[in-house]
Amino acid sequence: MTGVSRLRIGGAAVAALVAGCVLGPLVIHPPPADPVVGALQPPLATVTALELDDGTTVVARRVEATSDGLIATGAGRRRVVDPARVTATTRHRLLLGSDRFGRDVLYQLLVGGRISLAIAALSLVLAVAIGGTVGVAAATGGRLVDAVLMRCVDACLAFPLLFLMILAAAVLRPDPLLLVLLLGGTSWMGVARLVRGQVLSLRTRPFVAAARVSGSPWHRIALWHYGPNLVGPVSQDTALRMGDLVLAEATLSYLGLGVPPSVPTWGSMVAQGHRALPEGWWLAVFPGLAIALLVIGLALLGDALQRLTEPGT
Amino acid sequence: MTRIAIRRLVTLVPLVWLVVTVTFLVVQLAPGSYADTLDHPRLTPEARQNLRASYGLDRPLGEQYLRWLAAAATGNLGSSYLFKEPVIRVIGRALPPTLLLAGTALLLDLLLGVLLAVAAARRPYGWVDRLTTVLGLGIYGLPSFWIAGLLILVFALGLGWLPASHMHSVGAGELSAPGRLIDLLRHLVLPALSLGLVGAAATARLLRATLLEARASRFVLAATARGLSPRRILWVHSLRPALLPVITAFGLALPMVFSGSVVVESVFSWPGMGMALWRAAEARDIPLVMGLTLVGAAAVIVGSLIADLLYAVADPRAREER
Repeated sequence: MTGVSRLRIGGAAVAALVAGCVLGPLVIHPPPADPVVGALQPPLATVTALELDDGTTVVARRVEATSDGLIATGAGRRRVVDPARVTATTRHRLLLGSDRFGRDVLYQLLVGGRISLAIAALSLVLAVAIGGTVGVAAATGGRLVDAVLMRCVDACLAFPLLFLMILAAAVLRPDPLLLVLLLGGTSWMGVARLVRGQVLSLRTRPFVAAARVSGSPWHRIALWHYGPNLVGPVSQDTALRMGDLVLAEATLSYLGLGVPPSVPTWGSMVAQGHRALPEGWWLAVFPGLAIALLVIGLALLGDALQRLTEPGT
Repeated sequence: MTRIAIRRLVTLVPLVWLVVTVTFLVVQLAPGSYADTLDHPRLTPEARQNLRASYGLDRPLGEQYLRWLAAAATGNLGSSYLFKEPVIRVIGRALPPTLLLAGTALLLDLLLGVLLAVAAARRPYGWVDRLTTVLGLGIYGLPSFWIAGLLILVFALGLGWLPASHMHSVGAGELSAPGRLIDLLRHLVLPALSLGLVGAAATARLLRATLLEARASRFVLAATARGLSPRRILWVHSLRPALLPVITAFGLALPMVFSGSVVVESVFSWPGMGMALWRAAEARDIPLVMGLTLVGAAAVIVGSLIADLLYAVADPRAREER
């Protein structure tokens, strides 16, 4: 694959997923959840939703009119409904099926994707902020600061990080903010190394010397002279890093650590799917594929950015 | 060479100390203690308090920390609240399954990775190459726990060929020795695959690139000119230099494999370090958490040390630089 086609495929996959997760829940209207008859419908199932006068809904694969009333069947169960109580009848196609509580998997997937993406993106911002600061400080702060900071980076890289994250998440209460702190706080080291290397080479460039001679304070040089020149290399790196963060977030929520159980994320959806493997393969398969699509898309995107900006490689 | 080894060994001690200290803080700052996790109707508040005192949990944090550190320095890791036996013994039971799982996964990683990369590099951009590239990319994006679930679905629940969880079948103790070994291997296949496949994809990807580089080099041209068989050129002349970066990547992947086995262990109920850490953390079994983290951190750090040394062996420039 050439750089441009990687950029197209990767960009399209990532853009489609992000747009789907952000806009999708506003556009699609799944039937209300019916945990009795509507549970565990397979993908592509067409269901009939009978809205009752007490506000509840019966979602069924088949509805038959008999002398006893409407017989709604689905999920191996049946329920008799009095036709007089039905206020509205709608037909729905469940593209990805429904889960054990009768919820539409596609809708859950898009809502869960919002949370997964938000957590990964926020931790990425945190990682870039910490890593960027440490990298610039190490490159410009003199030999002692450089040595101390870089030894810290080495030490953090050698940590069995997931081990520690699992431990922290196991003893602390599940909380999305904590998850962001954990993920961001453990993935800034690569950014720090990258930024330090870039700044070390930028320092020798004439425009930095000119800025220094004209009396610019260090923070203005860091922000206005180093900053813009770091955007390119850091953005390639962040595409790949975001993929790793998505996987890490999914792993932690799979273990039931990241977010409270009531909040769906892709990782926790796979976990719930695993518990229901014999009854419904689709519950675990689709969130896993969503994770894979996003991670692969990000990898292609990062790869393409690197190829396009460094034609030699 | 020896100097690098000594320097790295010296940095090992503060690093392990740092990991253990962070762990201690995390466990201590978390709400609840072992005495609170016990749920018994006849456990009065006073009894809970006595229990806390008997474990020394009512002492100041600093004192508890120094006590643990002093004991650990002499090799005494204390005894587990949960299992009521020395921490060393619990670790001794949990470490072999994890080593077996991680070791098999690494072996699979290397074998599959080399085979796929060589198959792909024989005809660059041929159909084998394209297929392995796409498959490799697909597996790279999939979380290992998802692959584990898929393997369970297909091979355990669907086809029924292999067991879905645990390390031994019920009643395996009554089997003969070879029967027990076969039983263990059957239980090992799926967890090792779910852990090893992801690594194999990465290895194949890296090795394919370095193999193609090696095949374009002059020493391969020279070997071809000397009339050596293409097979010998590929497997010996190209593969040997191409494997060097793979060995380095292997060492760097060790923390990942170790952490990944924690996840896979929880999917397959594999009785290793990960499961033990999980149970210990939930029960606030501080000595066991600390012991497991100490051993886990030391294992990972020693692994990356070995990788660094191998790098120095492989690349003379690395020896001069430090």
